[in-house]
Amino acid sequence: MELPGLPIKKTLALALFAALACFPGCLRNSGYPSRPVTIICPWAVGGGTDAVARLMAKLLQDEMGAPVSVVNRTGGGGVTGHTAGAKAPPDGYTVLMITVEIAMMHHRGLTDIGPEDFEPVKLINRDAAAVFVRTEAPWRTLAELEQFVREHPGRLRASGTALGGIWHLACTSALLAMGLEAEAIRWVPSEGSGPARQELLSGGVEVVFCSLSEGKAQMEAARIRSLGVMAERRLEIFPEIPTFKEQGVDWTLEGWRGLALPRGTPPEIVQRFEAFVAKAVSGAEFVEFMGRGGYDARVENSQEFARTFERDDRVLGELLRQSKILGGGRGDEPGPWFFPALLLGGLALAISSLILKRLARPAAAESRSPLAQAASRPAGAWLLFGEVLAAVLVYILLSEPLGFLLTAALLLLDLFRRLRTGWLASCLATLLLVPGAYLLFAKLMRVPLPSGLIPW
Amino acid sequence: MTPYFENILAALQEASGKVFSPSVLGIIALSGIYGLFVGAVPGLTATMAVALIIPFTFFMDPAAALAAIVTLEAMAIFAGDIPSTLIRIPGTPSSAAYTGDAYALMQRGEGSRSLGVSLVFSVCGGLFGGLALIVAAPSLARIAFWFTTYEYFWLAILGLSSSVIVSQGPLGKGLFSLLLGLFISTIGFDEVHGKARMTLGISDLAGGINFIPAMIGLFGLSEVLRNVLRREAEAAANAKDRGQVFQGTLSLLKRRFAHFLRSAGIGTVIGILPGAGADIAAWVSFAASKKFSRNPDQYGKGSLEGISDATSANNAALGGAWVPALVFGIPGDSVTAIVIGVLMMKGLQPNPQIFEKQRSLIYSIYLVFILANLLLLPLGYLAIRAGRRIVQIPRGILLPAILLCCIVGSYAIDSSLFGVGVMLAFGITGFLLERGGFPVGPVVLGLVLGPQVEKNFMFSMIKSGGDPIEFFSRPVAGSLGLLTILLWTAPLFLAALRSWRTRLEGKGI
Repeated sequence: MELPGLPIKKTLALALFAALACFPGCLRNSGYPSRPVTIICPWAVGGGTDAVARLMAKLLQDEMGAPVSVVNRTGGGGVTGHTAGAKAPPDGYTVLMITVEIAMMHHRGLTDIGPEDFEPVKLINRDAAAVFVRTEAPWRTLAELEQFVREHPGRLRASGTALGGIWHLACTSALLAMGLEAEAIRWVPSEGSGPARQELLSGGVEVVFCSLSEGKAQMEAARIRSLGVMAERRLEIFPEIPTFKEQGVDWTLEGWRGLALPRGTPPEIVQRFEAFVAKAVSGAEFVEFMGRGGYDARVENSQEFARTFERDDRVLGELLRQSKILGGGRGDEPGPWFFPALLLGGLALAISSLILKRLARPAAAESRSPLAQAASRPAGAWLLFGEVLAAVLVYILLSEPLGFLLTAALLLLDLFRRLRTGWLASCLATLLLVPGAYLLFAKLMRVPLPSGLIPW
Repeated sequence: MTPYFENILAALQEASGKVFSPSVLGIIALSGIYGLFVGAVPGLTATMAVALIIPFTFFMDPAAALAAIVTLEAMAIFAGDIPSTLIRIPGTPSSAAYTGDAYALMQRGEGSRSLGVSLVFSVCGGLFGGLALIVAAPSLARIAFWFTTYEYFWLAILGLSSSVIVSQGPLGKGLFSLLLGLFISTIGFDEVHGKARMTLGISDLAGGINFIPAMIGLFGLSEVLRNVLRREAEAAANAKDRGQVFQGTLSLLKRRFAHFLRSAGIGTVIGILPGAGADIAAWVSFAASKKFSRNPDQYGKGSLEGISDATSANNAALGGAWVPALVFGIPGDSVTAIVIGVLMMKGLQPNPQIFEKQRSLIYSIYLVFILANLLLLPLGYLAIRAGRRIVQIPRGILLPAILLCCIVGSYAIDSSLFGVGVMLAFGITGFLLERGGFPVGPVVLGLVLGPQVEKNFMFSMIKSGGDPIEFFSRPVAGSLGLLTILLWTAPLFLAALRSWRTRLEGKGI
């Protein structure tokens, strides 16, 4: 199968790379956007932020005429996703679905990333905090709940999100506004409002703080009731839920979601992107979706959004300090190093017991030693072994500057040849596999592969 | 005929009119193929695929949208077994429990048979889960309310215990792998205490180690590494596939029907529990299968019994997960979390009344559950036939192609090269572990369940103000706890009993 002579090989390889270079370029146009746009969502699939991000991706794709995909960068209580959004190249191709937690995380010392790392583009919706109890709970109004907490401080348990999250803050700040201690209701952290509501239904906690849209399903199933919402006025989509203000507690607290670009994005790109978003959110589809999902769509433009940003950063920072939730847990539970230490201890025990066993039967172990077998392998095999590892490393280093197509083609061609596949077969396989993988992942599955030199 | 039955019949007629319309059948066929593909490509999960089709579901009839999701899921969970068997990379996390067994069978030239078993038992498991949904959804959904953080803590511990029990080789080595996985799972931001642990200031590490790239590394890359060290003659020897796809499958099903019912039952119940899905169902069912088996020594080395039990459970879990989602709007897994969103978008409220008010929609979901699982049989067979050709590809092309698959798959989950780095690190770890005779499966389970164990423990302690009594005083928690303790101490008791008996015999009594 091998073709003799260098020129043919060279031509083949050149033709291959030329083909790869042309392959994705067919649809290129000039100006912004000239390649796919990615929306980073800092929260998981299945949640409200993800649903809104995916709606925006779809609407923006129609407006921008370029593929827009959503990537969930979850974990770290939102730190991972927000950091990825702030550190993305400021070119308008990576957008962050930013949430209110950005105005809280840095006050808690979790990250250095704060509002000043972003160009706010558009606020999409607000989520006023609401308080929920089980349908059969004895409290019919907010005042009755307040009365109970006043008489039995520390008796009730509430949940809704992780420690120091927005709904935790809603709980403590509402208590402060009622003139109670911030810890008059014990906060039980959870992995989000979904698990918290399940915990409420199964009796693990008595109160849940989260948005009305999150509690919508169980409210309509008549499993839980809302005693009030911390908004200025009743929400259009939930007209039957009274506000805290109506019930004599002058307190509002709202979470929000919006789109932001990394700081340093050229102003003309920010403007163009904002224009796209403005068109997307003015359509009937957006309004319909948000209404049905129970999301309070209140769009703000970049200046208003920047003011919201600045105000919440101040207010929420102050609240965090007042509610004394800057630190860690309540101290009822073992500390953060309890589990890692326990596991390290277990690992040490397991290793020492294994060593002891080995020492007890050294002869048997020696004869079956895999290392002894491995030593008999030809040196070439170990070289190849190293090369496979190096290939992955090279991909990590080069795929961003060179792009997926070129890097993957280079790696495959090299490994094919090292495994003694003929030139023709190697080139054909590369030509089949690399664009194939590209089509499947980047086009069909909307996984934004590194673009590098070849933008589209 | 009573009006009640007339209502049901009318609804059924309307539902079948919807489901068997050309457009919905077309959507089912398309999402079936899509699901098979997504499941078969490592790194792409059913959740990801369902999330991708949400924007399209906005414009679909609710019955069509839900049909697409049900079909996609059923196909994807089975299809995960294909790469798991052929190239030792679980296509979805739900196949990880029995990847070792399936691949071992492949190497013995019985890959087709193993896949045939996977397919038939997946179909049956899926039908079982669907039937559970149809027959008993409103009453079964209550199971979700028995579970609070205490119960979840014990469930996670039970899951961990099962992985050590099923792991091949000496108990100490399985335990070591499990502890390693658990320890690695504590890396990252600790949400309970609001502290970063072992992140070295790297923001990617704050999110913790994602178990999907880790799984691809542990199983896939480590196998590529082992393969390049293998002599070509050795590698060629195991490439011949001797079996037929459905050879002996039916008789296996007949023989193991009681076991199948147990496994599908376990799968359905675990599916119903919020926060535990198809992957955990497969682990627990596999462990139960080994405990009840007459050939427990085969497990881990290529046990068709184990594969059949675990693969029925993971497909049965899918139907289970819809139970609390439809009845209470509580998702049983990440896909049904999306389903609830889709339902609400359509102005449909998941609640007990939905079974009366939206009868025709509910019936069309039922019909699709049955139809999708029946369709899985021919489509899955075609996928196996196509997949089998992979083995015939020369090693010189196959190995680099698998490597590419590992790289792109580990990148896909959060579009980050950090995932590729994680895959590389775990590839080397997996290679070293298996050289030393340590199983890699428990590492994956440790990564999956580690956060659950820790968080549910901490949440429980906070709830009770530091008092651990409720771990045992609640009825379900107490039973689960007792079961776990028995599971661990039973071998000790048995050993003590045996030595006592031999001592008696030694004395000649």
